Amino acid sequence: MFEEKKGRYRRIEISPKRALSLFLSVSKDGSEVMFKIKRSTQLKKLMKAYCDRQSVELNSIAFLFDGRRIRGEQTPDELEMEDDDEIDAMLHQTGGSTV
Amino acid sequence: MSQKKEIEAEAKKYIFNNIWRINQLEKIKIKDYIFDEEKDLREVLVEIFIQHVNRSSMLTLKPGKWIDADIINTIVNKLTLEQVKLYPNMEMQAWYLPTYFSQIILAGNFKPQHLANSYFGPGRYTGKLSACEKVYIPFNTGNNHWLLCMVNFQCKCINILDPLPTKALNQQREGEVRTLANSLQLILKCHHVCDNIPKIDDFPIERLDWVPQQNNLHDCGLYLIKYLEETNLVSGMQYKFDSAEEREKLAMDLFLHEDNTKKLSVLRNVL
Repeated sequence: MFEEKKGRYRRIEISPKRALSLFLSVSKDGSEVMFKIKRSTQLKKLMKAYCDRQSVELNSIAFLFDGRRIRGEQTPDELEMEDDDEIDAMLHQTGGSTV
Repeated sequence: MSQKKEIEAEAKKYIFNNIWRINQLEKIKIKDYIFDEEKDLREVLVEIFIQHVNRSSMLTLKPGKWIDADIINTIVNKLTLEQVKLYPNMEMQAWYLPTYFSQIILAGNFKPQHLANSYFGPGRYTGKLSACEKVYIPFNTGNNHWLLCMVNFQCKCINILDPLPTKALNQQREGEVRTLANSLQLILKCHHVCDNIPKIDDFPIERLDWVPQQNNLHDCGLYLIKYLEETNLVSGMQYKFDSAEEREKLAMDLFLHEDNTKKLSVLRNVL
């Protein structure tokens, strides 16, 4: 069946045994890191774990899903994430002039 | 007298919830609240279309600070929403793409289909290709400078709008613009399979060196926003504004924007 998602349509599968957790990959500059996370867990946990592993500051990275920036308090359920979905991790850019 | 009328007109513009209007004193309270560094930096103050600004990003609009991607992308979302309202049936004449789009392309190794799915079509930033005249692609170079690539389907050319051209780096920037334009063509082919895709890789690149340029070392983001919002770019034009005042005005305009879905909940904390 199809479900409306803010003007876009996306196929959703209805399964009587929907897994509580899902696997997500975080991709940055071509390299991927896999995470297993509960559907109801806030994504800031994944974001923090990724930054710790990469030894970077949490606020220096922007996490994007489906072209939108993720907020830490959002959950996979809220964003209708599915198994093997990909999150883009990107340097949070800023600019003022040419140094 | 005319100033009073101006204030009244402005306040009228921001009627919300049919209950009350925002006066000058309330505006000061709002400004103090959104720029309060002691408060939660992650509090979302503005959400327009599919982009949000938290306090941490809002603080980059303080005088002398470097403006961050979330501010620019919120302007992009505001302009996209205006186009959607102005041109029904997805026949937007201008497409404004977020900085993430150019960032992913310039990082290399991108998947055209992934970018088409994430940034093109309804609920995102593009519409019918046949109606599109210009594509605005803001981008960052060296994580220190914002500039604008504008693909013009009418003139069949690509423009670079650079708030601070630098002889030593101009060639590198033209290379980045060429990469963005050629990638746009690839992604258009993925998304508009049946349409006749313009041969963007044949379009010449032209630098618009006459656009107003920053006279300091922190305002390229502000100038980029001005280029994006400018509907009529003409040679010899100048911007006359005080940087600090303009930044504050931009912050307030974003917060008080009619499409800011966080306005009401934030105002409950402020007033």
